[in-house]
Amino acid sequence: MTLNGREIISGLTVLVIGIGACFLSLRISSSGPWIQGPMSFPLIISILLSLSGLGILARSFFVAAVDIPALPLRPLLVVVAGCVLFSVLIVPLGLVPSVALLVLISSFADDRPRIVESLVLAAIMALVCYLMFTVALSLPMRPFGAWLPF
Amino acid sequence: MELFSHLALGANVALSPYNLLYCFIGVLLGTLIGVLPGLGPMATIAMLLPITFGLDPVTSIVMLAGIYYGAQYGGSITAILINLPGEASSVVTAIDGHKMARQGRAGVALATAAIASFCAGTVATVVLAVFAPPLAAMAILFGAADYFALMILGLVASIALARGSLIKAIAMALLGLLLGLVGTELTTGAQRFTFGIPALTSGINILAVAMGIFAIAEIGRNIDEQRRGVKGSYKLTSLWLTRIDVMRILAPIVRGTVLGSLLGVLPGGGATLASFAAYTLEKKVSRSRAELGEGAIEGVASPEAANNAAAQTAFIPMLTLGIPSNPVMALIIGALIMQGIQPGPGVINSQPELFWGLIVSMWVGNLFLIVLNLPLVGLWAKLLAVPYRVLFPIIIVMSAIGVYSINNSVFDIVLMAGFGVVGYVMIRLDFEPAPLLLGFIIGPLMEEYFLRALTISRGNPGTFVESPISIGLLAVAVIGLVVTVVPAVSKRRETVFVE
Repeated sequence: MTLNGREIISGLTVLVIGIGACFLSLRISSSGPWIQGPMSFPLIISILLSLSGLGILARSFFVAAVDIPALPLRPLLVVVAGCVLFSVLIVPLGLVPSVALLVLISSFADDRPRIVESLVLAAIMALVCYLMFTVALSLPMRPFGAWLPF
Repeated sequence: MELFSHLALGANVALSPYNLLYCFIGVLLGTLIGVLPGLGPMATIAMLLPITFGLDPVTSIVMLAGIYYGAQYGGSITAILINLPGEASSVVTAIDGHKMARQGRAGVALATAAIASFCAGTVATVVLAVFAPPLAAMAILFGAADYFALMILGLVASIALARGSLIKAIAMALLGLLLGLVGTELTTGAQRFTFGIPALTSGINILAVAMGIFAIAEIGRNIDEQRRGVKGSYKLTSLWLTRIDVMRILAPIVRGTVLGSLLGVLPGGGATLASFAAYTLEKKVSRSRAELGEGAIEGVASPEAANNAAAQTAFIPMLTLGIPSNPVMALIIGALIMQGIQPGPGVINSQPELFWGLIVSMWVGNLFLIVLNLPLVGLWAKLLAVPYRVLFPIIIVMSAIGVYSINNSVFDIVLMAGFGVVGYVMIRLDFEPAPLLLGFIIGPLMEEYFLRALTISRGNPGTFVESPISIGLLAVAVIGLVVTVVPAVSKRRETVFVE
């Protein structure tokens, strides 16, 4: 018998989340009969979640590992980094520079980024977003933020 | 007849130039985004949701419905021309549709998809208009415990229909329920799972979850697939069906429409299940079943009719019971709640303009699909030539601004990125995202009815198995779960979804 690594990790992940949620549920302040309070439903679900984690673990010994297509990690990391940076910069820098920056960073998700193409795309997207969100939909986003002199 | 006066009211709303315009824009944008490889109806709606917020509730739901149909048709275009189905519901279309494209009949396949969708949409609109009001009237008889049982049934159905391991789908539904509970409990003000983060006290933004899991997590996969796959792209040819084609698609359209209308209403059902079931049915009964899989026109007509009919009748449980039957409906419920409308049995009476206007605009939306998309299909096909490395930065920017614009919260952008990581891990560990999203939407609602039922029964949990309605629904749920683990069925289930 070979160990089915993915299923074991799946089961453990669910189990850990479930047990963690149980503890968090128990800390919810509740007065009166517990079953009618804000703690009961989350606690029940957390217990069921832990049990399903155990179920996945148990099942992992009976099922053969099936190959699933690999998924490259690089695009995800680049995009996550880009989004986090975007969230930090959108208020102080404003919409236009943040969008351009996010487009530039995102293009590195491809392992063969084309810098000139990305620069052009960044400029176009910044303009389109300005026209669409600030001018047309008048969402409350400043095109240029306080960090910029204009 | 009452039905006609209702439909007249609906026509009055839907055909107002303003709503007509937004329905049109919705269909257009929906197709525009939906045609992009890797973006299914789910991601399309999530991305376009923010632009409906500034509209009044009726117009916004009319536009959303338009976006939904547009996205679905857009997905069919992608499936037929480049064999890259954006979402599970167009996987089936790709089987024969793409074969037809390779045989030089891409135009015919696209026209068939549009015609089948329109016919099915028309019938399903009537079904919705006729059956929703009595169902809503019946729903008023439901007590809190019955609602709770109904939601369990919905979750079980989405679990049973998920691909792969049953227990993993259950885990995802439960995790979704927990995520839905994050934030301030409404009656007591208790903070739950907020980790002391102020931005979490109002709960997790649904768009952050949907876009993280359905758009961000998939970007890596799409970059990869495009690099390998796009050589299989085919040129558009004449859109005209021959007389023989027309004769061949009539019966499959009828079969697909009936099947789709029925399956759309089921909790957990919807477009995906309908198109798979319709294809399976064609394989059994179609006169040209031997050709299915080799580019038979029936293999496009029937699933396309079924998924459009189901997409429409899925609005029945959503509008009458307030319970989403699939993740797309869950997202639309989220949009309605943000507009201040709680879908449920009362909507038909309290918001007749919304209800009947939506029904008529569904039909209008389908009409737009056919008159707009067929002439424009060449333009959509050109969009497919845009390389993904240009598209995905655009997708990311639109997602980030979209999720930010709802609450003007920068935290939501980080949350979206976080759910991108969650989605990535889920793909790697082979977990299905659909039950998680359904659980996420249903969670707060389910708890509300859970607590309400317990308050009525003074804390006696026996209340959930007291009313005959509740017992019946729970029994169906249990049977559904048991049936899916019976080896014969589970094997079948695997083959259906692997195909």
